[in-house]
Amino acid sequence: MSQHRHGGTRTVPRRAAEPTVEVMRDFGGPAPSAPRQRPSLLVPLVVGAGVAVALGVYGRTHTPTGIAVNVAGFSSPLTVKVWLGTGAAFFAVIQLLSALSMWGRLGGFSPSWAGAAHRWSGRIAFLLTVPVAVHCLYALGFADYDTRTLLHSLLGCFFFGVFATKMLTLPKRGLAGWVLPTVGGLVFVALIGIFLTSSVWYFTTFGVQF
Amino acid sequence: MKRLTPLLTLLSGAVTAAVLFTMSAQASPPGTQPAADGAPPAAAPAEPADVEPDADDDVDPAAPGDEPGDIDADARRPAGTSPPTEPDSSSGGTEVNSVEQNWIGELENGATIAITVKNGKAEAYVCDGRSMELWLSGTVRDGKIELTGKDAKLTGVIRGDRASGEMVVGVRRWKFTARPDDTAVDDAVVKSGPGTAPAIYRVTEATRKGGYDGGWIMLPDGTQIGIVTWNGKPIPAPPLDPAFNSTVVDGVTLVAEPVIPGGR
Repeated sequence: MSQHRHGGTRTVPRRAAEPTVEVMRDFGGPAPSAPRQRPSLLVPLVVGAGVAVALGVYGRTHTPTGIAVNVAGFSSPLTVKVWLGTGAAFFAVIQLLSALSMWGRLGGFSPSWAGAAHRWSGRIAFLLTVPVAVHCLYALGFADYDTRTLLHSLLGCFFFGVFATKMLTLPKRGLAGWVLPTVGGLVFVALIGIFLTSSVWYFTTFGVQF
Repeated sequence: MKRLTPLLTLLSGAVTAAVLFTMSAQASPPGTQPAADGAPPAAAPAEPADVEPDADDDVDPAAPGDEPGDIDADARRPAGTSPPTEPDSSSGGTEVNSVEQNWIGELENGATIAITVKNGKAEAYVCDGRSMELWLSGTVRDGKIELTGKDAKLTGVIRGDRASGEMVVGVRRWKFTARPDDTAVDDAVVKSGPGTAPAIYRVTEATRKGGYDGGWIMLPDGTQIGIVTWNGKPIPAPPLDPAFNSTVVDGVTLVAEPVIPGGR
C-alpha cells in the first residue's frame, strides 16, 4: 500500500476531514511485501452473490400478484416506479461525480464535502430503489418476455447483490486500490442499466407521465 | 461507528423492503384467491376448508372479512371468505359478484363468444384471440337474446341448453351457437344460478384510461382467450393470473375485473 501514488494516479480517495483514517491506511495497513494480508473479499462477494441469486429465485418462483402498495399522487404503480427509478438514477450520477471528485479525477475539484455527498447521495439512491424493487419482485417477478425485461430482471438482481458487496467491502481497510472503484462502478453501471430498461423505456414508450 | 454506517445502510434498506413486502401482502386482495383453482364464488359457505388454496402470501386471513368489497377485485370472493357462521354475507356477496348464467360458444368465423346474464341484463364479449374483439350489452329475457355493440347487433334464442342466433357487424353477418358454461361451478353446487362465476373479464376502468383495453373469456376447459388493445392496436392477451385478475403486457401490469351485467 505504499505505492499509492504511481503515475500521479490516486488510488485512495482524498479524505480531507479524516486524517486518522488516512494515517491508518498509509501506515497501519499491511506492508507491500505482504499483499496476502489484504482483507479478504470473500464474505462480501459471497453475500452479494447470495443476495442476487436469492432475489432472482424469489422473483422467479413467487407468483406475481400484479398488485403491491402504491404511493399516493401518481396515476399508477408504474409511474411511481418510473419516477423513483429516475430519482435513483439522478443520485447515481451524483455518486459517480462525487466518487470521481474523491479520487481526484475531476482535476482540482475535490472539495472536503465530496465524501459526505457521496455517502448521502448513495443512501438516498439506494433507499429510492428499494420500493421499486419490492414492487418488481412482488407484483411482477423475474420476467423474460423479451430482451428488455430479461436484462432488467438480471440487472435488478445483480444490482442489489453488488450493492451489498459494496457496503460490506467499504468498512474493510487496506484494500487494493482498484477494489472500491470497481465495485462502485459495477453498482453504477447496473443501476443505469436498470434505469435505461425501465424508466427510459417507459418515457419513450408512453411519454412522460406522472 | 464509521465502519458500521454501510451496514446500517444495508439494514435500513432491508427493513424498508420488509415493511413494504408486508404492506403489499396485505394490500393484495386476498379475496381473489379462490379463483386460482377455478372455484366459483359459489354459495357454498359450508365448505370453508378449500377456499384458501393459494394463501401463501402472508395474507392476514382476517383481512377479507374485515373489509368486504373494499378493494374492487375483492368483490370476486363473496362466499369463500365468509366463515360458515355468516350465511347472509355469502349470499349478499354472490348477489353482487356473480352472475346467473354464462353462455359460451363460437361464431362461424371461429371467434369465441361469451354471454353473461344476470337479472335479465346481459353483457357479451366476442373475440378471436388475435385481432378481433367486440363488446355488446343488452338483455336476455324469455329465451330471447338481444344485444348491441359498436356497429353491431346480436340476436338469438335459447332453446333448452343451447343458444343460437346471429351477429351483424356493419355489413357482415355471422351465426353463433353457445352452450351454458357450467364448469365454473365446483362440485355439489347447482349448475347455474346465483352462484355462477363470471366468465368475462375486462381491464379495469383505471387501466383503460391509460390507453389499454383488454378482455378475457374464461373457457369451460380452464383456458382463456382474450385480446389486449393498446391505443387501438389489438394483440393476443397473455392469460390473466386467476389469483389476482392481472397480467403483464410489455412490463405493464393490467388489472381486470369480472364483467357483471348491470354492475355499472
